[in-house]
Amino acid sequence: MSTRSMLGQVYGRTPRVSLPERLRSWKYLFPSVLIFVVFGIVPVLWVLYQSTFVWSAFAGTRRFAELQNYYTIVHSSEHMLALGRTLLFVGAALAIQMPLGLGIALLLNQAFRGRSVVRTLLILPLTIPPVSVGATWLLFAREGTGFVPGVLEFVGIDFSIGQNALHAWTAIMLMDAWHWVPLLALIFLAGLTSVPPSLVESAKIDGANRFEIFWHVTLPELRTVGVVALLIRTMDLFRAYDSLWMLTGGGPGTSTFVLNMDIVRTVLNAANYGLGSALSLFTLYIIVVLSWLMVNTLYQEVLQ
Amino acid sequence: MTTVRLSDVSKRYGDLTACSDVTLTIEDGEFFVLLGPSGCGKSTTLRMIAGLESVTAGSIYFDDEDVTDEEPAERDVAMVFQNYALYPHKSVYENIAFPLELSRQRVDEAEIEQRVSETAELLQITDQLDKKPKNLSGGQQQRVALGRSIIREPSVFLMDEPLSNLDAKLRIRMRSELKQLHERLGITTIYVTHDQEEAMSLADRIGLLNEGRVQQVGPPREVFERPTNTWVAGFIGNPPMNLLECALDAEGETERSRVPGPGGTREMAGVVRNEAFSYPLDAEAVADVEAANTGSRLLFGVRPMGLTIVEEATDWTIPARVKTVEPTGERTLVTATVGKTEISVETGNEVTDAIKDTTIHLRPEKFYLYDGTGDLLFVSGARADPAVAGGD
Repeated sequence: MSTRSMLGQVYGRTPRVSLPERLRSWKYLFPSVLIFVVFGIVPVLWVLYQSTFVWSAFAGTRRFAELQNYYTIVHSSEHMLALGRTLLFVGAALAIQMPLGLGIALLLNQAFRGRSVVRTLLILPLTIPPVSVGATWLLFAREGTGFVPGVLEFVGIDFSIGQNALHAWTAIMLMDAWHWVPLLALIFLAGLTSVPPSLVESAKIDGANRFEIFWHVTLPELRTVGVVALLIRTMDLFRAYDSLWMLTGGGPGTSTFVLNMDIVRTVLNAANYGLGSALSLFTLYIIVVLSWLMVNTLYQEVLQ
Repeated sequence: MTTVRLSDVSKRYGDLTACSDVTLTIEDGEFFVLLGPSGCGKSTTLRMIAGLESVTAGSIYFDDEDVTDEEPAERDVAMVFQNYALYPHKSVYENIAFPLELSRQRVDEAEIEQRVSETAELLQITDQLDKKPKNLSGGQQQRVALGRSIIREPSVFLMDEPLSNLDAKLRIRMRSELKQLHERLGITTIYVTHDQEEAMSLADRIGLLNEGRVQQVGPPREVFERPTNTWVAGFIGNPPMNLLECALDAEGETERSRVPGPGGTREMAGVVRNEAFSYPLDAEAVADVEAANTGSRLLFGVRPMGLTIVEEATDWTIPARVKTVEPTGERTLVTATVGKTEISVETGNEVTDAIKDTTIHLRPEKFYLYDGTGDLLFVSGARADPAVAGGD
C-alpha cells in the first residue's frame, strides 16, 4: 500500500489543493529546495558527468569514454575485492551490533540504581570523532605499544593487527561495535519504552515466561525501530572510512582495504578523477539498492 | 471456581498510600464490582489480586490458599485491560489462542483450534479470526480481549474498566453481553469501574472505595437505598444526595408532640433543625440518634428524587428558594437553597420556569440521618422495607 493511499484512508480522501494555493506553498518551499538542489543534486550530477571521462590528471589527458570506467570497475579484481571487503564489514558488523544493541537495551530497560547515569554514559562514545576512535584503538591494539597484545602475549597469543588479517578484522569489529552499539542500544531503548506495559502484563497473567514475553510481545513491538536502526547502521557502515584507516590503514597487505579507501586512493593518489567518480557512484548505487530492498521487504511487512 | 479473600491489604508507594486495610471477600461465582472515583485505589487493588503489584501489608487468599507472594501466572487469573492489550502483530485467532500456546499449558494444536472456534462462536467473532486487531472495531476488539481471557477457563476473571474505551451506545450493549457471559460461565468476576451506572447494572455486590479505604460493601440496591456514610451518599446517585446540616432538639417543641403526617398521626419525640428548616422525628429516630451518642451535630439527607413539591407548608415540609429550573426531557431538575445550602430536586415535567425565585415547599418522602463524622444513624421507613434494613 502506498503512503498516498494510506493517507487517503486516514483522511477519507486525497486532499485536492487548488493551483494558486500550490504555487503559494512553493514560494515557502523554495529556499530549502534551492539549497537542496545546489548542494545535493548538482554535485551528484557533476560526479555522474565526471564518471564518463577517462581522465588522468598527471598525464593531462581527459577523454569522454561513456561507461568505460564502470566496465573497468566490474572487471577489476582489485576493486571488486574492495567491494567484497566492504560487504563483509557491513554484514559482520550488523550481525554483531544489532543483537548486542538490543541486548544492552534490554538490560538498561530493567529498573536498577544508577540507570540514568549509565544511559548518559552510553552516549559518550557517539560524541568522539571516528579518527580519534581509530587512534585510541590503535594505541590499544598495536604490537609493541598496545595494551591488548601485551595481555594476550601472557596467554600465549601473538596478537598482531599488522601481520594477521583475522586479528586486524577482529580489532576493526570490536572498535566499530564499541563506537556504534550505544546508538543502537539507545534506539532500541526508545522502542522498548514505547511497548505498552499492559501487553507485557497481559502476557504475564496468561502465563508466559520471560522468554515467551520477549519473543511474542517485546520483539514484534520492536520491529519498526529495528528496521529504522538497521537502515541507519547499514548506510553508516558503508561510509566507514576514517576510523578504519586510522586503525589498520587497509592492511595487513590489502586485507582490510575497503571500497572507501579504494576511492580515496583512486582520486587522490592516482589522481584518476573519472574512475574515482565512477567508484563513488558505484558505492552509492549499492547503498541505494540495499536500502531499497530493506525498505521494501522489511518495512512493508511491518507496516501492513 | 474460587472465593477471593483480601485480608487487611495495604499498598504504599513511598509516602503515598494507595490502599489501606482493604478487607473484602468475593464469593465463588460472584460478579463483584469495585467502584470509586479515579485515584481511589480500585485499580491498585485489582492489580494486587492479579499479582501485578506487590502487597505492602496483608494477605490475599484464593479459596484457602495464600497467593500473596505468587507470580501472576501461578494464580490462574485472567484479566481484561482498559485498552484491551491485544497483540497488534498477531491475528485474532493467534491472540485468542495465545494463552494456550504457551509452554506452561501443554495443549495440542487440535484442541487449541477447537477451543478457539468455540470461544469465537460464543463471542460471535468467528468471521473475524483472520484479521489483525487494528482492523476491528472497538466492540470487536473488546470481544477478542474477552475471548483471550476466557479460553483458559480461569478461576478468577479480572476486568479493569473494560468498557470505558467504547462509545456510549456500544457500552450499554457490551454491558448486557458481559452480564450474560458471566451468567453462562459462572466464573468469579472482579470488575473495576468509576461508572456507578455500570456498577449498578452489572454487580451482584458492589465494593465502594475512596482514598484507599473500603467505604461500603453490598448489593447495588442496598448501596443506593442505605448508604452507610455521607461519602457513599454523595457518590452514588445522580445528582447526589442533599445533605443539610442540623442539630437534634429532643426536649423542645412539646406542642408538636402529635403531628398528622404520612401514614396517620404519630407520636413525635423531637425535631431536627437549623436556622432555615425544622423537621419532626418520631421516637424511633430520636432513639437511634441518641443511642449513637456522637454529638448533637447531624446531617439530614434526602435524595433529589425523594423530594416532592407541595402547595401548602406543613410541619413536614422544608422551605426552599428556587434558583434554576433545568428540564432534561424526562425529568426536570430544580436547584434551590435551604438557608445557605444548595439542594437539588428531581421533579416531573409539570414544573416550569414560573417557580424561579419563589419559595417552594418540599416534602421528603424518605430521609437519612448522619452523624457529624458522616456515619449513618437512621433511615426513615427502614422497617417497612426489609431489603433496605441492612445488617447492622
